[in-house]
Amino acid sequence: MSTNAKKTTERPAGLLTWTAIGVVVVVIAVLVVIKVTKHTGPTAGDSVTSSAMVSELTTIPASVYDTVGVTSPAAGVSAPVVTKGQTLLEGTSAVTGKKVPRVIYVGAEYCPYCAAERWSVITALSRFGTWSGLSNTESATGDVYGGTQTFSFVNAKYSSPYIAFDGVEMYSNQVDPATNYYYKLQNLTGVDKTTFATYDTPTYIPGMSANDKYAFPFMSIGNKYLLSGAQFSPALLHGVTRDNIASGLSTASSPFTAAILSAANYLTASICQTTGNMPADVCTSPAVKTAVHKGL
Amino acid sequence: MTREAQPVALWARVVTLCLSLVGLGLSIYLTIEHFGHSSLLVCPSNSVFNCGQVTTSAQSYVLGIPVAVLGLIGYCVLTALNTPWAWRAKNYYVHVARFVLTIGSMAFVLWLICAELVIIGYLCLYCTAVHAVTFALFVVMMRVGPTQLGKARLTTTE
Repeated sequence: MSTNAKKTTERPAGLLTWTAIGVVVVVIAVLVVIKVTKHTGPTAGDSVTSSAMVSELTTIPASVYDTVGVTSPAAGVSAPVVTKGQTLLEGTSAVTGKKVPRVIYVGAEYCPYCAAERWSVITALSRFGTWSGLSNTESATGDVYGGTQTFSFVNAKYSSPYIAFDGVEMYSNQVDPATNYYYKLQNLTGVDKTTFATYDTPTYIPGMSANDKYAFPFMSIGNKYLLSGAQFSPALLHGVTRDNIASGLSTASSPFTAAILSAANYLTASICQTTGNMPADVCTSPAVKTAVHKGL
Repeated sequence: MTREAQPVALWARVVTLCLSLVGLGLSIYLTIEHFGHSSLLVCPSNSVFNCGQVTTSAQSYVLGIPVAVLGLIGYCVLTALNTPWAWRAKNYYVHVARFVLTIGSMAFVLWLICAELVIIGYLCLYCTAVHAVTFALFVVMMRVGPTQLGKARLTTTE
Protein backbone atom coordinates (compact mmCIF):
# COMPACT_ATOMS: atom_id res chain seq x y z
CA MET A 1 0.00 0.00 0.00
CA SER A 2 1.32 3.43 -0.92
CA THR A 3 1.23 6.13 1.73
CA ASN A 4 2.25 9.76 2.01
CA ALA A 5 3.04 9.51 5.67
CA LYS A 6 5.35 12.18 7.02
CA LYS A 7 7.40 12.01 10.17
CA THR A 8 8.32 15.29 11.70
CA THR A 9 10.75 15.63 14.58
CA GLU A 10 11.32 18.89 16.45
CA ARG A 11 13.93 20.01 18.95
CA PRO A 12 13.66 23.01 21.22
CA ALA A 13 16.07 25.81 20.29
CA GLY A 14 15.77 28.30 23.15
CA LEU A 15 18.20 26.73 25.60
CA LEU A 16 20.88 26.19 22.95
CA THR A 17 20.52 29.74 21.71
CA TRP A 18 20.90 31.43 25.03
CA THR A 19 23.62 29.06 26.22
CA ALA A 20 25.76 29.81 23.15
CA ILE A 21 25.28 33.56 23.47
CA GLY A 22 25.99 33.33 27.20
CA VAL A 23 29.23 31.44 26.61
CA VAL A 24 30.45 34.08 24.17
CA VAL A 25 29.56 36.90 26.55
CA VAL A 26 31.32 35.17 29.44
CA VAL A 27 34.47 34.56 27.36
CA ILE A 28 34.61 38.22 26.32
CA ALA A 29 34.03 39.31 29.92
CA VAL A 30 36.87 37.06 31.13
CA LEU A 31 39.22 38.50 28.50
CA VAL A 32 38.34 42.04 29.54
CA VAL A 33 38.98 41.16 33.20
CA ILE A 34 42.36 39.65 32.25
CA LYS A 35 43.22 42.81 30.35
CA VAL A 36 42.21 45.09 33.21
CA THR A 37 44.01 43.10 35.90
CA LYS A 38 47.00 42.02 33.81
CA HIS A 39 50.41 43.03 35.14
CA THR A 40 51.89 45.18 32.42
CA GLY A 41 55.08 46.16 34.17
CA PRO A 42 58.59 45.37 33.03
CA THR A 43 60.34 42.04 33.26
CA ALA A 44 61.35 40.59 36.60
CA GLY A 45 64.00 42.60 38.40
CA ASP A 46 63.30 45.77 36.45
CA SER A 47 61.38 48.82 37.51
CA VAL A 48 59.25 51.29 35.66
CA THR A 49 61.19 54.38 34.64
CA SER A 50 60.00 57.29 36.73
CA SER A 51 58.13 60.08 35.04
CA ALA A 52 60.83 62.49 36.24
CA MET A 53 63.52 60.52 34.43
CA VAL A 54 61.41 60.15 31.30
CA SER A 55 61.04 63.92 31.40
CA GLU A 56 64.83 64.35 31.66
CA LEU A 57 65.24 62.14 28.59
CA THR A 58 62.49 63.65 26.47
CA THR A 59 62.48 67.37 27.24
CA ILE A 60 66.07 68.24 26.44
CA PRO A 61 66.15 71.81 25.07
CA ALA A 62 66.79 72.12 21.34
CA SER A 63 69.67 74.43 22.16
CA VAL A 64 71.51 71.58 23.88
CA TYR A 65 71.19 69.36 20.81
CA ASP A 66 72.48 72.23 18.68
CA THR A 67 75.37 73.02 21.02
CA VAL A 68 76.49 69.38 21.01
CA GLY A 69 76.07 68.96 17.27
CA VAL A 70 77.81 65.78 16.16
CA THR A 71 80.96 66.25 18.20
CA SER A 72 81.79 64.11 21.20
CA PRO A 73 85.25 64.70 22.68
CA ALA A 74 85.05 61.77 25.08
CA ALA A 75 83.98 59.08 22.64
CA GLY A 76 83.83 58.80 18.88
CA VAL A 77 80.34 58.74 17.45
CA SER A 78 79.42 57.07 14.18
CA ALA A 79 76.58 57.85 11.79
CA PRO A 80 74.06 55.35 10.44
CA VAL A 81 74.87 53.65 7.15
CA VAL A 82 73.08 55.03 4.11
CA THR A 83 71.53 52.38 1.89
CA LYS A 84 71.08 52.82 -1.84
CA GLY A 85 67.96 52.12 -3.82
CA GLN A 86 65.96 50.52 -1.01
CA THR A 87 62.20 50.99 -0.88
CA LEU A 88 61.06 53.03 2.10
CA LEU A 89 59.85 50.73 4.87
CA GLU A 90 56.54 52.05 6.14
CA GLY A 91 54.41 51.44 9.19
CA THR A 92 51.25 52.94 10.60
CA SER A 93 51.36 56.05 12.74
CA ALA A 94 49.96 55.34 16.19
CA VAL A 95 48.59 58.89 16.20
CA THR A 96 47.09 59.44 12.77
CA GLY A 97 46.69 55.88 11.50
CA LYS A 98 48.41 56.95 8.29
CA LYS A 99 51.38 55.31 6.59
CA VAL A 100 54.68 56.75 7.81
CA PRO A 101 58.35 55.71 7.74
CA ARG A 102 58.99 52.81 10.09
CA VAL A 103 61.90 52.62 12.50
CA ILE A 104 62.89 49.22 13.84
CA TYR A 105 65.19 48.51 16.77
CA VAL A 106 66.38 44.99 17.56
CA GLY A 107 68.48 44.37 20.65
CA ALA A 108 68.75 42.55 23.94
CA GLU A 109 68.81 43.61 27.55
CA TYR A 110 72.08 41.79 28.23
CA CYS A 111 73.88 43.66 25.44
CA PRO A 112 76.07 46.59 26.64
CA TYR A 113 76.14 48.18 23.18
CA CYS A 114 72.35 48.18 23.18
CA ALA A 115 72.49 49.76 26.63
CA ALA A 116 74.46 52.71 25.26
CA GLU A 117 72.47 53.04 22.06
CA ARG A 118 69.05 53.14 23.76
CA TRP A 119 69.90 56.47 25.39
CA SER A 120 70.29 58.01 21.94
CA VAL A 121 67.30 56.20 20.46
CA ILE A 122 65.00 57.44 23.22
CA THR A 123 66.21 61.02 23.07
CA ALA A 124 66.17 61.17 19.26
CA LEU A 125 62.70 59.67 18.91
CA SER A 126 61.33 61.94 21.64
CA ARG A 127 61.73 64.78 19.12
CA PHE A 128 59.19 63.08 16.85
CA GLY A 129 56.73 61.62 19.34
CA THR A 130 55.93 60.40 22.83
CA TRP A 131 57.26 57.51 24.91
CA SER A 132 55.45 55.51 27.55
CA GLY A 133 56.11 52.21 29.31
CA LEU A 134 59.89 52.52 29.44
CA SER A 135 61.53 50.47 32.16
CA ASN A 136 64.93 50.56 33.81
CA THR A 137 67.40 47.80 33.14
CA GLU A 138 71.13 47.25 32.76
CA SER A 139 73.37 45.13 30.60
CA ALA A 140 74.36 41.69 31.90
CA THR A 141 76.83 41.88 34.74
CA GLY A 142 78.75 38.92 33.34
CA ASP A 143 79.35 40.60 29.99
CA VAL A 144 81.85 43.26 28.92
CA TYR A 145 80.94 46.70 30.34
CA GLY A 146 78.65 44.75 32.67
CA GLY A 147 75.83 46.56 34.42
CA THR A 148 75.72 49.53 32.04
CA GLN A 149 72.61 51.44 33.09
CA THR A 150 69.91 51.83 30.47
CA PHE A 151 66.24 51.28 29.63
CA SER A 152 64.25 48.44 28.10
CA PHE A 153 61.82 48.61 25.20
CA VAL A 154 60.01 45.41 26.25
CA ASN A 155 56.89 47.22 27.44
CA ALA A 156 57.59 50.57 25.80
CA LYS A 157 55.03 52.19 23.55
CA TYR A 158 55.77 55.00 21.17
CA SER A 159 53.33 57.34 19.44
CA SER A 160 54.24 59.76 16.68
CA PRO A 161 52.44 61.37 13.76
CA TYR A 162 55.68 61.25 11.75
CA ILE A 163 57.09 57.75 12.24
CA ALA A 164 56.18 54.30 13.52
CA PHE A 165 58.57 52.58 15.90
CA ASP A 166 58.94 48.98 16.99
CA GLY A 167 61.54 47.99 19.55
CA VAL A 168 62.26 44.31 20.11
CA GLU A 169 64.34 43.04 23.02
CA MET A 170 65.12 39.46 22.12
CA TYR A 171 66.80 38.40 25.36
CA SER A 172 66.83 39.41 29.01
CA ASN A 173 69.95 40.14 31.05
CA GLN A 174 69.49 37.01 33.14
CA VAL A 175 70.96 33.62 32.22
CA ASP A 176 68.60 30.68 31.97
CA PRO A 177 70.33 27.74 33.73
CA ALA A 178 68.50 25.32 31.48
CA THR A 179 70.10 26.70 28.32
CA ASN A 180 73.10 28.51 29.80
CA TYR A 181 72.05 31.49 27.69
CA TYR A 182 69.93 34.53 28.38
CA TYR A 183 66.19 34.10 28.82
CA LYS A 184 64.23 34.76 25.65
CA LEU A 185 62.07 37.87 25.92
CA GLN A 186 60.53 38.76 22.58
CA ASN A 187 60.47 37.18 19.14
CA LEU A 188 61.10 38.85 15.82
CA THR A 189 58.16 38.36 13.52
CA GLY A 190 56.89 39.43 10.14
CA VAL A 191 58.56 42.43 8.52
CA ASP A 192 60.88 42.96 11.51
CA LYS A 193 62.29 39.46 11.11
CA THR A 194 62.79 39.86 7.38
CA THR A 195 64.39 43.28 7.78
CA PHE A 196 66.79 42.05 10.45
CA ALA A 197 67.77 38.96 8.45
CA THR A 198 68.28 40.99 5.29
CA TYR A 199 69.98 44.16 6.44
CA ASP A 200 72.03 43.24 9.52
CA THR A 201 74.51 41.52 7.22
CA PRO A 202 77.82 42.33 5.48
CA THR A 203 75.86 42.95 2.29
CA TYR A 204 74.48 46.17 3.70
CA ILE A 205 76.80 47.01 6.61
CA PRO A 206 80.23 48.06 5.29
CA GLY A 207 83.12 46.53 7.17
CA MET A 208 81.02 43.91 8.90
CA SER A 209 82.58 40.46 8.95
CA ALA A 210 80.50 37.40 8.23
CA ASN A 211 80.84 36.35 11.87
CA ASP A 212 79.31 39.61 13.03
CA LYS A 213 76.10 39.45 11.04
CA TYR A 214 72.87 39.75 13.04
CA ALA A 215 74.69 41.87 15.62
CA PHE A 216 72.86 43.79 18.35
CA PRO A 217 71.77 46.51 18.40
CA PHE A 218 70.35 46.76 14.92
CA MET A 219 68.27 49.65 13.65
CA SER A 220 66.55 50.27 10.36
CA ILE A 221 65.26 53.74 9.67
CA GLY A 222 62.80 53.03 6.90
CA ASN A 223 65.43 50.73 5.35
CA LYS A 224 67.08 53.93 4.10
CA TYR A 225 69.52 54.12 7.02
CA LEU A 226 70.93 51.22 9.00
CA LEU A 227 72.78 50.80 12.25
CA SER A 228 74.55 47.66 13.43
CA GLY A 229 76.25 48.09 16.77
CA ALA A 230 76.28 51.11 19.03
CA GLN A 231 77.15 54.56 17.71
CA PHE A 232 79.52 55.08 20.63
CA SER A 233 81.29 52.81 23.06
CA PRO A 234 79.43 51.77 26.21
CA ALA A 235 82.74 52.22 28.00
CA LEU A 236 81.76 55.86 28.41
CA LEU A 237 78.64 55.03 30.42
CA HIS A 238 80.02 51.97 32.21
CA GLY A 239 79.92 52.42 35.97
CA VAL A 240 77.87 55.63 35.83
CA THR A 241 74.45 55.63 37.45
CA ARG A 242 71.35 56.17 35.39
CA ASP A 243 70.48 59.21 37.49
CA ASN A 244 73.84 60.84 36.84
CA ILE A 245 73.61 60.31 33.10
CA ALA A 246 70.00 61.48 32.88
CA SER A 247 70.41 64.52 35.10
CA GLY A 248 73.22 65.83 32.89
CA LEU A 249 71.36 65.51 29.61
CA SER A 250 70.48 69.19 29.53
CA THR A 251 74.11 70.16 30.06
CA ALA A 252 75.97 70.16 26.75
CA SER A 253 79.36 70.04 28.41
CA SER A 254 78.71 66.67 30.03
CA PRO A 255 80.77 63.99 28.24
CA PHE A 256 77.84 61.57 28.50
CA THR A 257 75.51 64.14 27.01
CA ALA A 258 77.86 64.92 24.16
CA ALA A 259 78.07 61.28 23.10
CA ILE A 260 74.40 60.50 23.60
CA LEU A 261 73.13 63.60 21.83
CA SER A 262 75.68 63.46 19.00
CA ALA A 263 74.43 60.00 18.22
CA ALA A 264 70.85 61.21 18.66
CA ASN A 265 71.46 64.04 16.20
CA TYR A 266 72.65 61.54 13.59
CA LEU A 267 69.55 59.42 14.20
CA THR A 268 67.35 62.50 14.05
CA ALA A 269 68.88 63.60 10.76
CA SER A 270 68.38 60.13 9.30
CA ILE A 271 64.75 60.09 10.35
CA CYS A 272 64.23 63.58 8.95
CA GLN A 273 65.46 62.35 5.57
CA THR A 274 62.62 59.82 5.54
CA THR A 275 59.86 62.11 6.85
CA GLY A 276 60.37 64.84 4.29
CA ASN A 277 62.02 67.02 6.94
CA MET A 278 59.07 66.91 9.28
CA PRO A 279 58.69 68.27 11.88
CA ALA A 280 60.34 71.34 10.42
CA ASP A 281 61.59 72.82 13.69
CA VAL A 282 63.56 69.66 14.45
CA CYS A 283 64.67 68.85 10.92
CA THR A 284 65.95 72.32 10.12
CA SER A 285 67.86 72.71 13.37
CA PRO A 286 71.59 73.45 13.03
CA ALA A 287 72.67 70.14 14.54
CA VAL A 288 70.51 68.14 12.15
CA LYS A 289 71.80 70.14 9.19
CA THR A 290 75.35 69.46 10.36
CA ALA A 291 74.64 65.74 10.56
CA VAL A 292 73.22 65.80 7.04
CA HIS A 293 76.29 67.62 5.76
CA LYS A 294 78.45 64.91 7.33
CA GLY A 295 77.16 62.50 4.72
CA LEU A 296 73.63 61.40 5.57
CA MET B 1 14.25 11.38 2.43
CA THR B 2 14.75 15.13 2.01
CA ARG B 3 15.57 17.82 4.50
CA GLU B 4 13.75 21.11 4.42
CA ALA B 5 14.70 24.23 6.31
CA GLN B 6 11.93 26.06 8.09
CA PRO B 7 11.13 29.59 6.95
CA VAL B 8 12.80 32.41 8.86
CA ALA B 9 11.17 35.65 9.94
CA LEU B 10 11.61 38.65 7.65
CA TRP B 11 13.28 40.73 10.37
CA ALA B 12 16.08 38.18 10.73
CA ARG B 13 16.73 38.05 6.99
CA VAL B 14 16.84 41.84 6.75
CA VAL B 15 19.05 42.27 9.82
CA THR B 16 21.56 39.60 8.78
CA LEU B 17 21.88 41.09 5.29
CA CYS B 18 22.41 44.59 6.70
CA LEU B 19 24.96 43.35 9.24
CA SER B 20 26.79 41.40 6.54
CA LEU B 21 27.01 44.48 4.34
CA VAL B 22 28.37 46.56 7.24
CA GLY B 23 30.89 43.83 8.03
CA LEU B 24 31.86 43.60 4.38
CA GLY B 25 32.44 47.36 4.20
CA LEU B 26 34.60 47.35 7.31
CA SER B 27 36.55 44.34 6.04
CA ILE B 28 37.21 46.06 2.73
CA TYR B 29 38.54 49.11 4.57
CA LEU B 30 40.76 47.02 6.86
CA THR B 31 42.14 45.10 3.88
CA ILE B 32 42.95 48.31 2.00
CA GLU B 33 44.53 49.70 5.15
CA HIS B 34 46.54 46.50 5.64
CA PHE B 35 48.11 46.82 2.23
CA GLY B 36 48.95 50.42 2.92
CA HIS B 37 46.88 52.38 0.45
CA SER B 38 44.55 54.24 2.73
CA SER B 39 44.61 57.41 4.72
CA LEU B 40 40.85 57.87 4.52
CA LEU B 41 39.96 57.26 8.14
CA VAL B 42 41.71 58.08 11.36
CA CYS B 43 42.05 55.66 14.23
CA PRO B 44 42.33 57.14 17.71
CA SER B 45 45.45 56.36 19.71
CA ASN B 46 45.08 56.13 23.47
CA SER B 47 45.50 53.62 26.26
CA VAL B 48 42.74 51.44 24.84
CA PHE B 49 42.83 51.85 21.05
CA ASN B 50 45.88 51.76 18.79
CA CYS B 51 45.21 50.49 15.27
CA GLY B 52 48.86 50.63 14.26
CA GLN B 53 49.99 48.34 17.08
CA VAL B 54 47.26 45.83 16.23
CA THR B 55 47.43 45.82 12.44
CA THR B 56 51.22 45.52 12.39
CA SER B 57 51.41 42.88 15.13
CA ALA B 58 52.47 39.28 14.65
CA GLN B 59 48.86 38.31 15.36
CA SER B 60 47.68 40.20 12.27
CA TYR B 61 48.62 37.10 10.25
CA VAL B 62 47.26 33.57 10.52
CA LEU B 63 49.24 30.92 8.65
CA GLY B 64 50.85 33.69 6.66
CA ILE B 65 47.53 35.15 5.57
CA PRO B 66 46.58 38.64 6.76
CA VAL B 67 43.63 38.51 9.15
CA ALA B 68 42.13 41.42 7.21
CA VAL B 69 42.03 39.28 4.07
CA LEU B 70 40.48 36.37 5.98
CA GLY B 71 37.82 38.76 7.28
CA LEU B 72 37.12 40.04 3.78
CA ILE B 73 36.74 36.52 2.41
CA GLY B 74 34.51 35.55 5.33
CA TYR B 75 32.23 38.53 4.89
CA CYS B 76 32.02 38.06 1.10
CA VAL B 77 30.70 34.54 1.73
CA LEU B 78 28.44 35.63 4.60
CA THR B 79 26.97 38.43 2.52
CA ALA B 80 26.24 35.99 -0.30
CA LEU B 81 24.64 33.57 2.16
CA ASN B 82 22.47 36.32 3.63
CA THR B 83 21.03 37.61 0.37
CA PRO B 84 17.29 37.06 -0.18
CA TRP B 85 18.10 34.43 -2.83
CA ALA B 86 20.24 32.43 -0.42
CA TRP B 87 17.59 32.65 2.30
CA ARG B 88 15.07 31.24 -0.18
CA ALA B 89 17.40 28.44 -1.28
CA LYS B 90 15.85 24.99 -1.38
CA ASN B 91 19.18 23.37 -0.59
CA TYR B 92 19.21 22.64 3.13
CA TYR B 93 22.99 22.82 3.29
CA VAL B 94 23.08 26.46 2.20
CA HIS B 95 21.41 27.23 5.50
CA VAL B 96 23.73 24.89 7.37
CA ALA B 97 26.71 26.67 5.79
CA ARG B 98 25.39 30.07 6.91
CA PHE B 99 24.88 28.81 10.46
CA VAL B 100 28.28 27.10 10.69
CA LEU B 101 30.18 30.02 9.13
CA THR B 102 28.58 32.43 11.59
CA ILE B 103 29.62 30.26 14.55
CA GLY B 104 33.11 29.82 13.09
CA SER B 105 33.42 33.56 12.59
CA MET B 106 32.40 34.18 16.19
CA ALA B 107 35.00 31.69 17.43
CA PHE B 108 37.68 33.38 15.33
CA VAL B 109 36.63 36.77 16.66
CA LEU B 110 37.03 35.48 20.22
CA TRP B 111 40.62 34.52 19.38
CA LEU B 112 41.26 37.96 17.88
CA ILE B 113 39.81 39.70 20.94
CA CYS B 114 42.05 37.52 23.10
CA ALA B 115 45.08 38.50 20.97
CA GLU B 116 44.23 42.20 21.21
CA LEU B 117 43.47 42.28 24.93
CA VAL B 118 45.96 39.78 26.30
CA ILE B 119 48.88 39.67 23.85
CA ILE B 120 49.01 43.01 22.05
CA GLY B 121 47.46 45.14 24.78
CA TYR B 122 45.49 47.39 22.45
CA LEU B 123 42.22 47.30 20.55
CA CYS B 124 41.82 48.33 16.94
CA LEU B 125 38.71 50.47 16.52
CA TYR B 126 37.64 49.15 13.12
CA CYS B 127 38.51 45.58 14.06
CA THR B 128 36.32 45.99 17.13
CA ALA B 129 33.51 47.24 14.93
CA VAL B 130 33.80 44.07 12.82
CA HIS B 131 33.79 42.01 16.01
CA ALA B 132 30.62 43.74 17.19
CA VAL B 133 28.94 43.12 13.85
CA THR B 134 29.97 39.46 13.98
CA PHE B 135 28.58 39.12 17.49
CA ALA B 136 25.30 40.67 16.38
CA LEU B 137 25.14 38.24 13.47
CA PHE B 138 25.89 35.42 15.88
CA VAL B 139 23.06 36.45 18.19
CA VAL B 140 20.57 36.62 15.33
CA MET B 141 21.70 33.34 13.85
CA MET B 142 21.62 31.60 17.21
CA ARG B 143 18.10 32.92 17.63
CA VAL B 144 16.76 31.71 14.30
CA GLY B 145 19.28 29.09 13.13
CA PRO B 146 18.45 26.22 15.48
CA THR B 147 14.76 26.69 14.79
CA GLN B 148 15.39 26.81 11.08
CA LEU B 149 17.69 23.79 11.04
CA GLY B 150 16.98 21.84 14.22
CA LYS B 151 13.23 21.89 13.72
CA ALA B 152 13.61 21.07 10.07
CA ARG B 153 11.14 18.51 8.99
CA LEU B 154 12.57 15.12 8.17
CA THR B 155 10.13 14.18 5.53
CA THR B 156 9.88 10.62 4.34
CA THR B 157 7.73 10.00 1.33
CA GLU B 158 6.80 6.48 0.43
